[in-house]
Amino acid sequence: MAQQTGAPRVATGTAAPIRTTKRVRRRVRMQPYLFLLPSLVFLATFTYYPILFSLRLSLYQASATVAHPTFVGLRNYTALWADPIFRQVVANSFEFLAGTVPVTMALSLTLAMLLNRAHFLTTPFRTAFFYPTLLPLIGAAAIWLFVYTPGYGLMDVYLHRLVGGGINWLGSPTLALPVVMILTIWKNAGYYMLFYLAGLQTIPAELFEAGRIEGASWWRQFQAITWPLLGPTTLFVLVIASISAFQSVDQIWLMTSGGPDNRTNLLLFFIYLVGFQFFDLGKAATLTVFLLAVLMAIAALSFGFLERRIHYEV
Amino acid sequence: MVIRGRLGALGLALLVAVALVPVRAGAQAGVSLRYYYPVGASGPLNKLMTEMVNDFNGTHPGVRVEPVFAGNYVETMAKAMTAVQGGAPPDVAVLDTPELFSLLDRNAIIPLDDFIAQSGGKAWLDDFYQALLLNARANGHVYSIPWQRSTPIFYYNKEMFQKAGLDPEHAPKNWTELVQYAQKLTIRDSSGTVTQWGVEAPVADTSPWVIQGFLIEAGAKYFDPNGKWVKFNSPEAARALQFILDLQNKYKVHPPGPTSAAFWGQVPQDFIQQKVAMIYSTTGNMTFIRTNAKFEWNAGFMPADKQYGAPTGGGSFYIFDKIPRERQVAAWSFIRWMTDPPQAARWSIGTGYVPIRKTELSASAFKDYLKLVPQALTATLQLRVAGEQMTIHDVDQIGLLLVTAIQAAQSGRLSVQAALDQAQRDATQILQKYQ
Amino acid sequence: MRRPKALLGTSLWALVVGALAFIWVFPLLWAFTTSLRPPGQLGSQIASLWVHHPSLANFKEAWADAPFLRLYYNTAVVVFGILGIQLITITLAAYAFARQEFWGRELLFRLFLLQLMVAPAALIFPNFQTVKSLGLLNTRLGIMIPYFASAFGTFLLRQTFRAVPRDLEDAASIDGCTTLQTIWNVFLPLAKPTLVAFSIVSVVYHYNEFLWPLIITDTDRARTVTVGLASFTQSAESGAQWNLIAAGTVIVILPLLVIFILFQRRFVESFMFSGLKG
Repeated sequence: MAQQTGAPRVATGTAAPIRTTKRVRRRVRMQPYLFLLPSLVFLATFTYYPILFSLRLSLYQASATVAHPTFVGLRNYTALWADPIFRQVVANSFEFLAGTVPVTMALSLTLAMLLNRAHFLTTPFRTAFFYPTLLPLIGAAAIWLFVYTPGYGLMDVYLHRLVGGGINWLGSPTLALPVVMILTIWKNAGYYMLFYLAGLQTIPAELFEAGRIEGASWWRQFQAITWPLLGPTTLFVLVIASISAFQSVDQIWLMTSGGPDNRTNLLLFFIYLVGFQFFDLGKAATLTVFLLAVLMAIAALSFGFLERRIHYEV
Repeated sequence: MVIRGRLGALGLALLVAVALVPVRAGAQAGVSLRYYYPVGASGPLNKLMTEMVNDFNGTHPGVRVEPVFAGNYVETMAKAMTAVQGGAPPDVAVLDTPELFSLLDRNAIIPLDDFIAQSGGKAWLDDFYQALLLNARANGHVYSIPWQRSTPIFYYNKEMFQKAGLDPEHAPKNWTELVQYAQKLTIRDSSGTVTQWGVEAPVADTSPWVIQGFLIEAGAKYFDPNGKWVKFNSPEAARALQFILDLQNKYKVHPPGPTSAAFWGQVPQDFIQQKVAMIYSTTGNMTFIRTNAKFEWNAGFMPADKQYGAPTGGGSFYIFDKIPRERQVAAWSFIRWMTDPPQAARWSIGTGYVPIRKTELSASAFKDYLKLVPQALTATLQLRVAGEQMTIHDVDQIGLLLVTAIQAAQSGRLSVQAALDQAQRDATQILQKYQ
Repeated sequence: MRRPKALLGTSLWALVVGALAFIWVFPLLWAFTTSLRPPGQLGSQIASLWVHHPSLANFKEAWADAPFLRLYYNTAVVVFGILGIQLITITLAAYAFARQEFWGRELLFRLFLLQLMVAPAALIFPNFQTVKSLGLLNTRLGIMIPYFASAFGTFLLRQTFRAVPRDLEDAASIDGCTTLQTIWNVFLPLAKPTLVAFSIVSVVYHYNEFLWPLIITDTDRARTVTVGLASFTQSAESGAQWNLIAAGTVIVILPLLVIFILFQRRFVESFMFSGLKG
């Protein structure tokens, strides 16, 4: 790969090389910034700026039918706090978080442990659990809409002996959110299962050998070996799952439109309603700020731990 | 030799290219219109719309309509508004008729009086069923022309009526009879599970439509024709909502629980699956039911309370503002053609939407259709007793408040009066800025 | 003595996991069989997994009812367009973070971290306003543009680049390669597994995205398959026509599923890999 680049390797003159070297040095110094520039341009426009934009707009009353946005200070925030629909949305969102994250994690860990063995059936089984990840959430929701149809839907037809017939799953204020959660869990468990599988495979087999020799029970082994060593993986899955719980509302859009009685109205869906159906721009900005605050909180909580982990890795 | 060969090839290529160009340029000469519409993507409706638009384009050189299917009514409105705000409005659209004031608030549409005058004025307009024009007017101007209009209608399973000893040729006339019939038609198995419901009424989904029929029948005056106030918590309104709850909880002839967004699509399915004897659903579903019901069925008016009543529904044509005048003129020629009796009849026959004008009924195609589907006449007759659909400012947002109130009452979270009072308070607050 | 017991254990395992796997697959099986169910057969057998006279009529009608060809084309442009630009931005950024010393490196790295927490998905409202003011509403570019930078990809690639042996790099610079040439000839080939993994994750994510393309696109000009499917499922007036909806759903989910079945191992490894280095 012998090619001529900027500075000739052998000095041919006296004045020219010095000027060229300085220019080369400046270019070398600027280069990292040039490399980061494309990413930063897009990050600035679509991650940093929107945050500032939302913060600013949240201080205004702006809607499609009002001619000029008017500055109202923190009034949007106090109005939001007083809005019972908002309170319901927050409650729903945290209920959704609490309902999906631990269950999905436990399920994916269980599946990983079940599939952590060499057998020709492992691959097809793994495919069976993982494929929902590849479906668009809106497509999965279309299928599950039928699962939950009362009377002749899959749930009723096949499980009516267990659950009784004709239950209006998506129409019940108490059941609608849990059934949406079930769909979400079904969709994500296979994905997190892969992380746990990878994690399990990093645990040295000798540890389990030692445990078996000592006659430790399966549960004891799990407590002493598996669980602690899966710590980083668990943390990682926890963060991913928590963030994801606030970012996908396709199934709400299709199956319940936030109802009944706002019981499946989640934060991002509420932003969609307010911003793109009611066109209350000030309120949508305020809601976005709130969502950002929640995501930052999750980030802050988890980065304390992740930081430590990154440091002792490389 | 070689050069000539190559030049020849080049010349040939140029000729071909030139030959292709005029075809495209010709298509671009004349006016091009973007037309948003909300018709169901599944079933024959979308195909029919595309065919009709193609026929229009074929018979009107100089105008080219580009049909854009934009989702359901709420989505189509959202899309249209986004386009308006983005400075690139569509030219003509079918939008949910009650969006009138929301559209006016955003200066999105133009009055159609001039165009109507050119097309025959009052005589032309009078041919349309007046019920369908109730919410087309504001400030003394006409802003929309009816297109795919519907009312809820009462479908019932004749065979189930016969089995229950009821007269299969007549639907229940009023609320009292409805309850009596439903009680006879609700069948439970030995364990007490319902295998056949008496009636299903999806009173609201993402907007409160069917419930308005009950409100009109109870005599409630629940909104201002000028769009500025609502009255959700009158005694008449409470009576209507209480009746729905009674169907569910007192008489137990209707599935319990809140009417969900999914319920709307489920009800006609339940009907053809023979899980329910009587349903309230849109006339727009008539073709679907006709094609899929493997039993004798009939249609009747929504059973009356103090009076018969049904809200009109569906979409009308609007022409947008802030587009070149020539496009507005072209848009009117499109609307004019589509609503002419032959096309209007073609649409009604193909979809089950109600006829929009009286002369449509005398088209021979329509007469044949009525012989085949006599139930279609019922929908037209019900127009005489139909009432205006709630048409106010911010109708989507306020409609959702009413939907929530209905769901809250049905789930038992709030009493009927409390739920309606809540909706009334919240709605009044939103409407403040229009006073 | 141990073998029969092990066999029993294995059989039990296969049964339990098999049953679970069957439950997981059931909705998909139902979608496939319903899509093949002939139009008149909407009767009480609608929940069964058996079809009497399978027919492709639903597919024909679904295909005619929505412009799937156009939707596929748009989706392909969006998905591969995003990937193409992402590969460029993450390669440059990853190299800078992995191999170069410069003032503010830690700070800029943390700024990148921000996008992991605050994905464009949560910022649909402000980003919509930005895309609108850029005049990119209802365009494919409008859908793609917030995703051109990828903190996730930058991280993955940075880890991989850091593991590139220094001597290879030194050899290249002795040969007179510019930085870009070094990246192209040394780093990228060694990072191929990471690049493949990232590409798969990116393609799957953007193929399946819904809410953002929904609000950006008005017409079929730039609409993607997921948005088309949603419109398809939510008809304006008529009831739920399950065999048609199932056919439409199958049309949309089929491409990814087929590619997945063909390249199973790659897929699974990619997703696993994306977690290992998280």
